[in-house]
Amino acid sequence: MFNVSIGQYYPVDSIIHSLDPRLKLISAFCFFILLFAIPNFWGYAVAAAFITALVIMSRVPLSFIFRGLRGIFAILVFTVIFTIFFTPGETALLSAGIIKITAEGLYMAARILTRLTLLMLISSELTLTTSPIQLTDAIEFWLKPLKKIRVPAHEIAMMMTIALRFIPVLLEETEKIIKAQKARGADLDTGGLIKKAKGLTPILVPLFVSAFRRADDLALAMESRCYRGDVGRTRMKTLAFSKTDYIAAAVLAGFVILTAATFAV
Amino acid sequence: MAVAKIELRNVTYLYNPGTAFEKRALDDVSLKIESGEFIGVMGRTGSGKSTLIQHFNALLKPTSGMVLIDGEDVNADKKRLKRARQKVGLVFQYPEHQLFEATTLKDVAFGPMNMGLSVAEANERAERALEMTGVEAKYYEKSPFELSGGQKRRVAIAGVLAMTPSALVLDEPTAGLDPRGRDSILENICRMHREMNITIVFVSHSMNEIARLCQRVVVMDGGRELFLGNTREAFAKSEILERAGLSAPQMSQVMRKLKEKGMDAPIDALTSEESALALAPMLKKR
Ligand SMILES: Nc1ncnc2c1ncn2[C@@H]1O[C@H](COP(=O)(O)OP(=O)(O)OP(=O)(O)O)[C@@H](O)[C@H]1O
Ligand SMILES: [Mg+2]
Repeated sequence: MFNVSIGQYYPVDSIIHSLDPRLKLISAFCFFILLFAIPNFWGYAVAAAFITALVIMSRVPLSFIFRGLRGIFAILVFTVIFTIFFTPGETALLSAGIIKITAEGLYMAARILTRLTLLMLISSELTLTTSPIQLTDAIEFWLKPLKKIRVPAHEIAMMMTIALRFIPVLLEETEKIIKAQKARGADLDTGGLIKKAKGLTPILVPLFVSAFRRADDLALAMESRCYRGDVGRTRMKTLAFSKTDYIAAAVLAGFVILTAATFAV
Repeated sequence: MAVAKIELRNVTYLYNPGTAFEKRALDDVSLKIESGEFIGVMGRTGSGKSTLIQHFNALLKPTSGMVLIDGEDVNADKKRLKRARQKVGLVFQYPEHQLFEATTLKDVAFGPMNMGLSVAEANERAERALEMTGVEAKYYEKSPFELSGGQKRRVAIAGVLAMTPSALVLDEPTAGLDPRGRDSILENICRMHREMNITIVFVSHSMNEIARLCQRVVVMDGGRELFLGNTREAFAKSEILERAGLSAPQMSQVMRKLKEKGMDAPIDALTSEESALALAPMLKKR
């Protein structure tokens, strides 16, 4: 019923899955910056090859990756069309009234398309191979330096962990409530917009009630186990770099250098 | 009132087919539930009981196989599906979590209203259902959220009953209730079965409840139907219970122990009354 694969962990055994989440997060971050800096075709070619290799190594089925990207597909198409028609340029290939397609526009559109696709691939690759808990651990690690300027790194990470942890629970709950109301003859699929919106009350009210009940229970459970934030807290699983992580880091550095080298071409 | 026969033919159900999360929750299940019977469904956690009963009113569509209500394929078209939902009332586990209206009466009237009845008719049905489940009239205009756990559960059951189904399927209706609340809900269910002459499908983890109430049982194990038949027979066959990971009801256990000690105890007795009647003459003879 709910196909939200972006931000969804796909549990299989692969090298990419086993890498240190801190490394994966910072790599994805470097990659984002790099993608915006790439000035020419060769840079994109290297980046695309690298991501393809990642996707293959992660052993997540292609169909699963693309299913998650379906939602963003419309935005992609819109952006590309917009760019093609509204980029000012000299070399007009086709013109009819105010509509003008230029070589510059086509070039720009191709560039944006490649860049966005690669961006989406790399971010879903990150979330598909890293469990939410690992991801927040990594975020907490990289936010730590900001504690000096009073950014509550631990609390932010804890909030994210909890939010992420409860997404599937709430989805499951929603599905259950929908089923229960359907069993009472609720018709959620037909009718106009207003009727559909009204039809949501029997779903949303129980959902909120249960969300608050869960929040209450969780707060109580945490408090009764003496949770009081970051102070004096140690970890059950400490993240540690393994040999594979060092090799991966080296490969990544190599890739960055290679891409940077293409800038000069 | 119309009768409802529920029939499953080779039903297999997969959750999330074609992904890493694929799970075969039902595996080639065929069964027939006669109209007017009181049938139990048991099996260990995750054996597919809830998945099974969601097929009875077309909330889940079988991956392969067929579900027939009174001989009609429920998934054939929208009209039949709607009719199946009305004919077979499904009360989920912890149904009180689905209450949403401002007053108890309105919440119970939600189902009848969806059937297209007028407000007056819907309220009348709601009142009858609330009366049947033992909710007192003073609560009708109260918010359902202010009621106690047991009362909420009754209101939720009434919400399904108000649609005047000819079969009522209950998924662990007594889970999480205190003994008194449990007994009185069970009593109400028996009353519905008796007075309204409806089919009852009763999912429970309590062997004692099943032994006391159900004429027949379905025993589920790993998505497969391990046994379908007489309750007495099911509890007398210890190998079935063992394979399904269940324990016999207290009474059967006591009788079996007595038999081991050399007494001619009735090991297929299901209730304390039954075994008392059988044992009394033997004790008198001594
Ligand atoms: N929405 C779902 N998505 C994926 N798998 C599910 C879903 N619901 C149930 N399952 C799986 O299907 C199997 C059967 O589940 P089901 O809920 O029918 O068991 P049950 O017999 O009702 O268990 P319980 O006694 O705990 O209620 C379980 O292994 C469960 O993990
Ligand atoms: Mg269940």
